[in-house]
Amino acid sequence: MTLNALRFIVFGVLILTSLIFLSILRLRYIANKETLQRRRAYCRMEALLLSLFDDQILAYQWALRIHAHELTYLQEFLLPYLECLKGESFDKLVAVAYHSGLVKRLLQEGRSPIAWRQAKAVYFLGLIREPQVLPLLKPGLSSGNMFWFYPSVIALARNDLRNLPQVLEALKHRSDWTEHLGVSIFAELGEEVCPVLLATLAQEETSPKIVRLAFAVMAHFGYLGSESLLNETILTSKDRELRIRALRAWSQLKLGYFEGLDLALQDPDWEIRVAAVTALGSSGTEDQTALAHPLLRDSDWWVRLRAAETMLKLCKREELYTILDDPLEDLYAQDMLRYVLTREGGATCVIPVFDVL
Amino acid sequence: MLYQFLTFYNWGVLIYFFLLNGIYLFLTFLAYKAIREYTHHLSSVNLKRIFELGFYKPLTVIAPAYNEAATIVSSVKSLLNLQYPQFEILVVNDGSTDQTLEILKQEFRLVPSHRVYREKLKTQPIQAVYGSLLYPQLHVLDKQNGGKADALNAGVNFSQYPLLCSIDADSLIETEGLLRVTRPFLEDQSVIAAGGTVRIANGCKVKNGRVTEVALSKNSWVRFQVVEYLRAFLFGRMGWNSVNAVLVISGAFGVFLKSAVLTVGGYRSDCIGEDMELVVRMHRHYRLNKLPYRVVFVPDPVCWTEAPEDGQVLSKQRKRWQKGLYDSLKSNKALFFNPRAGIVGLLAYPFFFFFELLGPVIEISGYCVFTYCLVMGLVNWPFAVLFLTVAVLMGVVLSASSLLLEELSFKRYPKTQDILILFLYGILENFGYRQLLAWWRLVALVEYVRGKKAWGTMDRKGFTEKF
Repeated sequence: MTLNALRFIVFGVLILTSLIFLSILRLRYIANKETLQRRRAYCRMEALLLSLFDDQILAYQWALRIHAHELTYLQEFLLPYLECLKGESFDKLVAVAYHSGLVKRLLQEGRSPIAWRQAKAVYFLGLIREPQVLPLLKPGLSSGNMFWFYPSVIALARNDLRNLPQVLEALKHRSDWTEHLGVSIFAELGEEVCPVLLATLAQEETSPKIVRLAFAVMAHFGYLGSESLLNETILTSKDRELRIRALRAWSQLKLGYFEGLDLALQDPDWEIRVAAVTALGSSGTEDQTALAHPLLRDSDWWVRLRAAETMLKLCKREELYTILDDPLEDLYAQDMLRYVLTREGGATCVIPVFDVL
Repeated sequence: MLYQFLTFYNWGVLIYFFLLNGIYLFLTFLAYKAIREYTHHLSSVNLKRIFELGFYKPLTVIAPAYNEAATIVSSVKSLLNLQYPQFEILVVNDGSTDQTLEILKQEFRLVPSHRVYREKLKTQPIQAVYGSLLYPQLHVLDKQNGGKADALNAGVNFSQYPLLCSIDADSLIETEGLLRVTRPFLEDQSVIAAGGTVRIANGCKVKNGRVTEVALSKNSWVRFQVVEYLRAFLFGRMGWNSVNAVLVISGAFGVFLKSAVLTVGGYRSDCIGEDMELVVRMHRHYRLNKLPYRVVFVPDPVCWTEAPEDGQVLSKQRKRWQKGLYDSLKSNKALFFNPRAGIVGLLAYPFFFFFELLGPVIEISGYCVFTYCLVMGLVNWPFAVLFLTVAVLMGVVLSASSLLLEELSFKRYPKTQDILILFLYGILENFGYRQLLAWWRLVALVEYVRGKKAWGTMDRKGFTEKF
């Protein structure tokens, strides 16, 4: 009985081993074949792309040359172009995606219960601003998985400016996104988002993180209409992070000097002083050099560094040399000024050892 | 009486054998499913694009180094080549007696740094902290010798980012390795640890701290180990990963949530297998306190390491691993058949105890009993031959399955010839190599029980053109 069972097991295991061995060889064969197919398809698509951009063929003519089994390759091929192109070229490639049946297939995949498949489809459809993608976004927007959430929110943002409240709502309920990511999402909405964002912030109660993001977005687009909001935040906000972001945005937008900067320069918080003196450097004039001078004697290394940089931007070098020669001047101030001047002059110097923040 | 004992023993071994192989086959099945899903998933994500958008958690790479003069420069260069938006590298010189620190100072222009060291975990005293003039993200901690765990704890204290990646200073991580291994932390906020695959670099071409061409070594010891590593990582850990019961994250390449490491008290300095011990302790803490968590294994990020090329060094390594296993299981025995610990307490821990820790005892005792029966003329030859055939074939099936998983997923060995050679070594390892490993592991157990817990040394040759 036991022997028979063992014989049976030996027989079974032998067959299993042979099957595994054959499967390995088969997989290798399939992989090689697939690589070859993909390479050929990519070569053909590259040639078609050039012809399409040169107006030698139309989008539907390209689409006719794509076989059904090559749609996955087409999706992979088009994706990097769609991510970086704009205008007519972008529209031509979108037309290829429609004519080839790729969009239809992705709309079906967007309903797939498998998260990664849905995310992939939604990301592509979002890039081409397909309106039918909107009903498919709900699971992705509420997902804890960033790799599903991100394509969904991008699709939402790219589709229509009217989706801004939903984008804000989606971001409000998450904590794991960085400002950089937030700006990239809003960048998809285009420059027109700034006034709408400003109006939304005025109407609704939203989280400080979203407000900070809004400042960054407005700075990203160089939107000058945000001046009064930034002004008010720098002057009145009790949230230090918000004040710092507002000062940074002020600096990026190169808005002119106002009395709020003066107050910020005297703030007990060193990070606010750093942001304020940097903003002064990008928006001030020679007349405001005197405001930066006291900060050259600040107890914080970063404040002194930014103050020296600001003074270098705002006033003539001769004035700085006067400070260096002044025997009554603070030694730390002179040291920092010398460091910045040497660095600007392109001369080599020994990099001082300092506490890395 | 003796005959009764032998019959009882035979049945015991038979049940043990089928139970072990049954679990292995089940793990293979789970790993097969998980790898299929993972490879599909992987193709859907453009990692670089997403990380470019600020979609990451900053990370500190901690590389403890003790007498690693031969490999330290290539290892640090490999780390500097890594693609990750925001990370720092901490090399912890654990009181090396060779030229490790001097080489680092010279090669990377190290100067004393005043960055604050906060001692959240108790370690041996820190002698100096250095920063690099060439690479601002590179820092070197020089401390008194306290062992690898102590060096890692010093790295944890000094790190400033929420994720920690522990690696061996003699390992090379693939360029996108960090991007891939940190992915689970973005997908699921309950992930507290993630480990990647460790592969053998002997035979591969290494340039500027990167594996540029994957190939198989001509050394037989290394080839046996390649098959073993594939088996351990692709179906062992992948299988356990499916049920959130990965007990081992290799010290050569693992990423941890810093807060979780601090919560459980960091690495244990008095432990030989500090990597496994930490993970088992994390399971114990989170399971017994009913906290949501996941420890994941990610098969794709690869870390290349140098494998022993002779029996003597290999025996030292395996003895150390076996002692580490014993240590880890012993210090977390609260998990043993503990229903509150779920699958970890009821399945994973007992599996490691009965099959990984006691496996060599059963195997070697089997050979002894067989020899005794042979001398006494008690061998049931048809049964013995068939049983040995089944044992060998099961070993071959498991090795072949891991090769199949490799083909299904990452295909790191481009030559078909290499795969065929590995298949052959998967058969050959059953005749001598496996028995030798079992013997070393048994010796390690005996040494451990007798109180000999020394770590031992492993001579490194370094990643040079010879590979």
